[in-house]
Amino acid sequence: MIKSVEAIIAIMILILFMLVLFNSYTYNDYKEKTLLDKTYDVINLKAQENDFRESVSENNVEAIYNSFYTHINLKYSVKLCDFLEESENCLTFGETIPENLPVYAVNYYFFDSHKTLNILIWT
Amino acid sequence: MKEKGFTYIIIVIFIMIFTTMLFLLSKNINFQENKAQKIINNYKNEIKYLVENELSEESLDLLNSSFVDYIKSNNYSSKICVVVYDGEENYYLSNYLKEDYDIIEDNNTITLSEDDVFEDISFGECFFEILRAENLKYYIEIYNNKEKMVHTQ
Repeated sequence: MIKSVEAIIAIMILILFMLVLFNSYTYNDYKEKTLLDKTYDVINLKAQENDFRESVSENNVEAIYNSFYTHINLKYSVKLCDFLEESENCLTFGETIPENLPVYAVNYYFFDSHKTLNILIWT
Repeated sequence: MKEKGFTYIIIVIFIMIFTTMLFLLSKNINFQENKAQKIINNYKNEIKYLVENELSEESLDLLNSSFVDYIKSNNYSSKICVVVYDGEENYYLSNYLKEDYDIIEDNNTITLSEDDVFEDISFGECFFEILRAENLKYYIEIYNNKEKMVHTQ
């Protein structure tokens, strides 16, 4: 009797775990993909504009931040680095980046100014 | 009897740990695939800007050398070949050359007159069929010891 009760509890825990995991997997994937794809599309379009590229080469992070304002409806911050994301020469502008939340990053490299633009987004 | 009952719970816990590990591992693999694809998209977008705005031998050469370094910094190797026709002349660009390939010069970029274009050109392992109607044709391959991604246009 005790054995069969424990078996039922074990099966219920397993089913519940599978449901939570599946939901988390599909929802996070969808949310993350949509968010990042949309941001990346905006960067691709902006990168074709001479004014925007000028802001990048002049390190005008405020102008870069403002140019994304109407396109991203979540909290975000821009980080402009010399050549690489890991570079120490980075300028940041925008909301304070949270330490305890997952932050999604979209990177774009500008070959003419040797700078990498990182858009950091969180919910 | 009680000990036997707990074995179900223990088995369930092991299944949960194993499934969580698989979940985390698959997320990591997806991220790596996205990274290579993003680099290729970045390259495509930058060459599009170059062709429409400031096409020259120097800018093409800069694009090539900058991107090869950028790709390296992301722990990938690359083979990139580009042919651009700007209406007057062709620009040929490659970072992957065979030693006996005699059209390309030391700086990896040369200009040939339109008359010199022939249908099939091999840049090392990069292969093109060039049509005069197309103003931009390229081959980009990004790879490391775990994955390889190729894009041609």
